[in-house]
Amino acid sequence: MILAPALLSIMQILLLVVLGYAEYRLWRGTSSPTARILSLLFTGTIAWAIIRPFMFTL
Amino acid sequence: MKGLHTLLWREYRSSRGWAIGLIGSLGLWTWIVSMISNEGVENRLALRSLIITVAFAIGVIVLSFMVGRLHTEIKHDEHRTLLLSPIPGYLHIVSRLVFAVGVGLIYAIGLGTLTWWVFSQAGAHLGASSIMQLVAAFPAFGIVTLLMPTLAWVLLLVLFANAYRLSHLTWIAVIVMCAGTPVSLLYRGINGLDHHLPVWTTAPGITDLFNRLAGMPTQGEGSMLTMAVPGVVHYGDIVGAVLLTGLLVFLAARLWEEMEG
Repeated sequence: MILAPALLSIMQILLLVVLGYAEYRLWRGTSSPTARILSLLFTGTIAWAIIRPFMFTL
Repeated sequence: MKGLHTLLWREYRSSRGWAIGLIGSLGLWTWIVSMISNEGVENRLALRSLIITVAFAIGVIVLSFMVGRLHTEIKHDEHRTLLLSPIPGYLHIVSRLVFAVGVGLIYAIGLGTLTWWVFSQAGAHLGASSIMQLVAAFPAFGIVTLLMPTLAWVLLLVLFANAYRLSHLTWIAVIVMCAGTPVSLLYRGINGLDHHLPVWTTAPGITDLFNRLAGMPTQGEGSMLTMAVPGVVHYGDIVGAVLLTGLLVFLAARLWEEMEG
């Protein structure tokens, strides 16, 4: 099943973009591997919470 | 383990003001609870129980701020003062957690004792098992299931934010962690153990009081019949909370060793 980006509202796309940028900054902003994994886990959880409703409607 | 004593002593020296203040506040809560004189046993019991619950919640918040001061200590390199030889990261985390949990346990036992007094005033005939449950078992349960994971999470938050101090991304890290902590998911997963473990039962004296207030027949303190509380208090919560705390402490210790070690 392909997630159609058009179904995501503009607000949610914006949130995902901001989240992606935050993750990029966090990944580059530390040398600690644990902090990088944690930031990935946290942003991934938030992204999943944003995307999940659409996964079930498709 | 050699450094643990030094770190505990150091923690005591830096946090004793907070600890004494929190434990001293028990006097204030006792005074507030004793001042309540509403009409009706049920109303009095409900209001006093609510105040004790609020007191416990405030205790958790105060202790969270107490361990959260680690942020300032790291910022000013205060933790290096006494430590001329390297000490494993987990000892730094464990010492702070142990001290705060110890203070929290004393505070919770104080609140448990206050609950005992409140129940006695409500006319409960409490035997040794009921008293032990109110004064020791329930406070210990609250500390293990609520305080321990909360404090471990605060320590991880401080160290996670500290990992971004040099790049000035601390606030982004804090927001991302607060919004994205998958604690609930982890906890819910671990909590699945509940279905395979026995339920907690309240002691007869406490059960009788609730039965009496609800207008149901009582069993008497000597009876072995107890009231199960399914879905509220489970041993599975203890297992889940201990595992969760262990995981958070492990991650915090890794961060400490990567950034400060």
